[in-house]
Amino acid sequence: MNEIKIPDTRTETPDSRVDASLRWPLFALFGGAAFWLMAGSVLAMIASIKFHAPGFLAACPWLTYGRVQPASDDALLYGFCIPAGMGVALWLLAQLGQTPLRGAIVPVFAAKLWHLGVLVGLAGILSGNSTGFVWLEFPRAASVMLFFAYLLLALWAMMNFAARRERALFPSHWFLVAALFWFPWIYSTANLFLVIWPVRGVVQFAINSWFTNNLLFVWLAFVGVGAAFYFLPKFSGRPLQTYYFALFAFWTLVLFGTWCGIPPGAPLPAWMPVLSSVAATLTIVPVLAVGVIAWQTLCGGEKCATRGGPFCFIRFGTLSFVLSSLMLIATACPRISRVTEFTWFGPAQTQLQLYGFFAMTMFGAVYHLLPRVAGFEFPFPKLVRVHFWVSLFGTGLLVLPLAIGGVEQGLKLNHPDVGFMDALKATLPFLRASTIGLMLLLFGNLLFALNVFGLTFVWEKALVKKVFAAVTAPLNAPEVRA
Amino acid sequence: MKNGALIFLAAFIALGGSWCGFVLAPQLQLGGTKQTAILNSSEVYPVDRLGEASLGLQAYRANGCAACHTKQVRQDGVACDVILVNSGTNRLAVQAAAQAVNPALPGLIGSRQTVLHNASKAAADVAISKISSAGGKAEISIIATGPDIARGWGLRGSVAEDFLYDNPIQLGSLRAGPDLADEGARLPDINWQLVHLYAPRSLIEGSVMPPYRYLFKVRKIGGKPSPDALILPPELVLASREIVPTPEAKELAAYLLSLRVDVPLPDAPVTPPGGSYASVGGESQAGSGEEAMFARGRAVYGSLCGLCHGNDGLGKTDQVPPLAGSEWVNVRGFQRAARIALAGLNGRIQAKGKDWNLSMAAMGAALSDADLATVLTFIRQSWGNQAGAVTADDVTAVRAAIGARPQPMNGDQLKSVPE
Repeated sequence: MNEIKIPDTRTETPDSRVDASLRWPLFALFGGAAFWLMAGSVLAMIASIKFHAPGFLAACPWLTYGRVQPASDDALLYGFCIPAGMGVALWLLAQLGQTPLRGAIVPVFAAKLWHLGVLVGLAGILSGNSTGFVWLEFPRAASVMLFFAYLLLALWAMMNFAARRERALFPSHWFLVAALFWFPWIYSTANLFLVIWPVRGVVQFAINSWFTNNLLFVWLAFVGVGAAFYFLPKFSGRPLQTYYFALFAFWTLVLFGTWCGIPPGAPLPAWMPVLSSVAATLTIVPVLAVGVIAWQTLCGGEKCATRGGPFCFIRFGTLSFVLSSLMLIATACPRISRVTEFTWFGPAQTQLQLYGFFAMTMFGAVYHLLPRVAGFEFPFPKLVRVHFWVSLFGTGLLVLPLAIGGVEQGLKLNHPDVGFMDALKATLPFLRASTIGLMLLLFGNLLFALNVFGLTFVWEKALVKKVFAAVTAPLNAPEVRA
Repeated sequence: MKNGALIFLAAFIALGGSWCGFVLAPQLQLGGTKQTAILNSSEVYPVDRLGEASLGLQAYRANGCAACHTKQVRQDGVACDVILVNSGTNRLAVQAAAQAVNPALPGLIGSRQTVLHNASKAAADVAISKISSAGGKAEISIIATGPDIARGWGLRGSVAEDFLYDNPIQLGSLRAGPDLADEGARLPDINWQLVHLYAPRSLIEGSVMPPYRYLFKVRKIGGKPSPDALILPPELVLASREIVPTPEAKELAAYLLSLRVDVPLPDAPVTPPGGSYASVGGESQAGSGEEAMFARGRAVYGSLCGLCHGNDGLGKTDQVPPLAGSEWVNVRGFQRAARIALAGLNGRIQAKGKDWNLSMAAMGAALSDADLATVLTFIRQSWGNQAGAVTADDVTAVRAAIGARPQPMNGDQLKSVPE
């Protein structure tokens, strides 16, 4: 029997034709993503300030807390995370397969359609037309746009994948391809059964919880871990430890992770929360596996000189993945859930997952790949390092106080002799600290947007110059004579 | 690797497994759920909301109330109380049986005496059999337990049936504000709800709820004042202006008043204290005997007042003042107590030697004069209180005296009202 050749991302050579073919789609995806990242940050700040001054912007229905808060979450998830993840996935698939993307106009159109959908969706939420389902607040028109935009992006990525010249399958491939078709499945299911032909009563809650878990935990893990499994070996100069262990992590994530998400105290038939708790306990396996793989790959690798560079983002992202997933698993345990359910611990976990893990991983990937794709360096390369440290402290200041405050709030709420207002007041100092964390994140996001927009400007300027030169170039003399 | 297709096919099937588990299976199990029969009643539950309350769910959704409020009560378990209903002919034997069950009982036991408190179902069954073999009659009262219920956020935990007609379902996942599942039972006062929406801090000190001013209109009081205008605390009253709720605000308030978790169901049994207020039914069935009146008073108290003041009348430490032995209740005159019940209370008040800062909802709109009279009588004659009974005519007189739009008072203002 032939020895199986284990694919290794380190041997893969960068291909400039692949990069060039992705230029337009990636600028369309990342440009919009950077914009929504900023917008989401501003909305999150507005929402957070309202806890310290409830009268702040209270006269404006578009900016009431109950609308701004979901809008900020959705801007981060649908505005930034998903398009950035799709951009990184497109690049990774093309790069791993050594195949330039064909018909780039379609993904460019899909990216524009996606970002237009996000605009419509956010306007819908802020004007009071939210669907009322968690993480699915976008009104129907926006959901339809997002769905078809995603389908086009996924279709093009799959066509590129199918036509790949390098036939070897890397661990990143499984994760990314699974992500490509899992989103349309869960998103269409959730929208069809909740918004278009709504099912009745608590079945809505079951489907909503299933969707939320599969988008926020499973989909983000597919893309984020898939990207990390490409970048970690690349940066550390050591092969992924190991290929088969990665396959094991993928399988257990698919088998167990998809069943999490039904809260233990939910008013549903008991088998659902119980099954979900069991699945969450088993999800410790893939989470720790990812942690061990990353650790083994990094240990003994080259000491990377990119301090505060893309490498740091990816490392921090992987660490946050493990931590946020462990928080998620903890809240599925009925005893812990009794304290943490309905408290700020939940938002703390979500923020660590969305920002600490996924957004940070995407920042690292974008900082690595966008200059290669554009053919230009970032206009402010020093800001990358500043962005890393600001985001690191921002995430810490956002997540830690909310998590601790959440536990404190939960303990107080479980004690009926402590008045509700006293339990609430106990959380306010923690909420103040988290506002500072959000401010740092806003600043970090601004630095990211500066670099992305700056690079876009440089690239477009060069493009205009090139076109101008081509138009104004003197015609060939022989042709004129003829 | 040659097994690429195999990996993807298997992953596809595995992912689909969770779809079958948490999308298909719940729909198959619960999708056809119909109304359930209420325990010990011929009525069914839930009933779809109508009119304003039904539209109010959409206001609740549009303004994102679920971002801060949950609408689900959590229950830890159940405990049983054994209550002696009738001592029968052989009082001494029943007395001995009861004391065999619970040696801590006083020497003389009367009607509706609680024989066992917070016992397990098995212990309660033993007590019932002992008392009935002695010739007495006792009944088990099922009490849901858990911090949410002890807080007065509902009589029992929320179950799937409660949400049958909620579309979209708004369970919420964060308690930055209190749970609202039982809001309509706790604060059945539309004016309180509207003023709270308009200016939360005027009613709840230190509230972090944003004021929903955009749900209200400020209007010049013309020739005809609006019947909907808010009855505002004095510090918010504007000269020659009135605050009128928009239709959306009225719908939202109607929806909040429709929220309650107090119906006993087969999979969520609970005995409303003193028998269900709803199951006692219309006042016609209540009878007019003194005992029946007292029973009705207990029922009304249990489903409304008891949520905050406690079924023992002791209130909640530092949050809700006690009614047992309170100088506002246990006095000869009923005028002040009736006024508090009818018009609510807002501001500082002294009770039983302590200072309280309260915002109690008015019950005048939720309860008829007859029900108010029974509940006032019950409060004035329970837990060691020994004031006289109040009749429906008494309450009608107080209601007429304070007018159709009474202002909730504070302690000092109440003292200016004759006893």
